Order: sequence, then structure tokens, then C-alpha cells
Amino acid sequence: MKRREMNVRLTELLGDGMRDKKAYYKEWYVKNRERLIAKARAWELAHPEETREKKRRWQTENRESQKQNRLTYAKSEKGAACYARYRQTDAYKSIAKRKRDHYRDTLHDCYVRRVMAQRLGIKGSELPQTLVDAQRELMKLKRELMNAKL
Amino acid sequence: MQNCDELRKELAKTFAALKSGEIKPSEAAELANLAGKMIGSAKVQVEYFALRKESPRIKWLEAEE
Repeated sequence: MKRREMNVRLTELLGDGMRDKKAYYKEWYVKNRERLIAKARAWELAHPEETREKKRRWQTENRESQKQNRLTYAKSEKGAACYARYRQTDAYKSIAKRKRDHYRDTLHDCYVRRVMAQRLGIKGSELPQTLVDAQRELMKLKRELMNAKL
Repeated sequence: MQNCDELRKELAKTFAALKSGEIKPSEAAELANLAGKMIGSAKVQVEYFALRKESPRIKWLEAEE
């Protein structure tokens, strides 16, 4: 069927009140939503590699906006309450501890900065990177000396 | 030792030497102590300027080009 014929047929079917394609599509989508979702899901299951690639691409393209959305939600009243509840859970506590331990063991920037700023009137983030790097080497050396003593 | 970067390199060398047994732990401890003093004094300098809301160039803290 040619496009023009299709349009004529569509207009006949839809009548005068539904000529607006956008409105028509909206209504059509609501009617067929479940079927479309199932179809898309079936395609995803049939093409796992393409799906993974598609999702990875989407993540890369939307990383910043996703981060922004998370921050906006965390700052909202509902989000803040939700995160506060989450921080009370054992799951969160164990993850946080594992992260802290990892930062301490690998002498991560955030750990070194925190240690350096413990008795200072400024934040760790205000310390210059060169100084932080030197402090990291010093900590490594001190740890080695401690191990040698034991 | 002209700047912080050189101090870091020196500390890394000391660490490697200690690991391989080229220097004694007591010697390395002295170097670590001295380096700690140098870093501490630089830290105080940074804090001083930050609290005065000044940001002068501190040559010793600048990395090598």
C-alpha cells in the first residue's frame, strides 16, 4: 500500500477528531504498550551482545545527566530521607567499611588527604597534589619500616 | 632537594633501597623523620595562607615541568 493511500485510509479510520498524529500515536501506544515492551524485551533476549553494547553506549552518553539526577534526588526531602534510611542498614555499613579499608590499604588520595588534614584548620581537598603525593610516599616508607620492625 | 616532587622521588628511592636491603631500617627511619618534618612545615604554610584567604605561589610545592 502506498503512503498516500495509507494516509487516506488512516484518515478514514480515525475520523475528524483524531487527525492529530501525535495524539493518535499516544493513544495507540497506551493500547499497545505491553505488547511493545514484550517485543523489545524479546529482542533484547535474542540479541544479548547488541543489548549490552546499547546499554553501555547509553550509560556513557548519559553519565553526567544520571549523576546530576542522583544528586538532585539525594538533595530532595524524599531522597535525603531514603538515603538516611539506607545508611542505617547493615548492607551499607559493610560496603562503606570495605571501601574505607580499600582506600586505606591502597593509600588512596582521599585517605591521605583526610589523614593530613586531621589536625589542620583546612579541608583535605585544599592541600596541593604534590604535597599529597609526597605524603603518600612517606606513609609507604613508614609502613615498610613498621613491618621491618615486627 | 629543590621541591616537593624531588622529595617524593627521594622517598620512593629510599623505599626501594629499604626493600632491597641496600640501606638499614634505622637510616631509612631518619630520612622518613626528616621528610615528615619537611612535609609538616609545608602543610603549615599551606594552612596559613588558606586561613588568610591568600593563594601565593609556593615554589617548593610546584611540580617539575
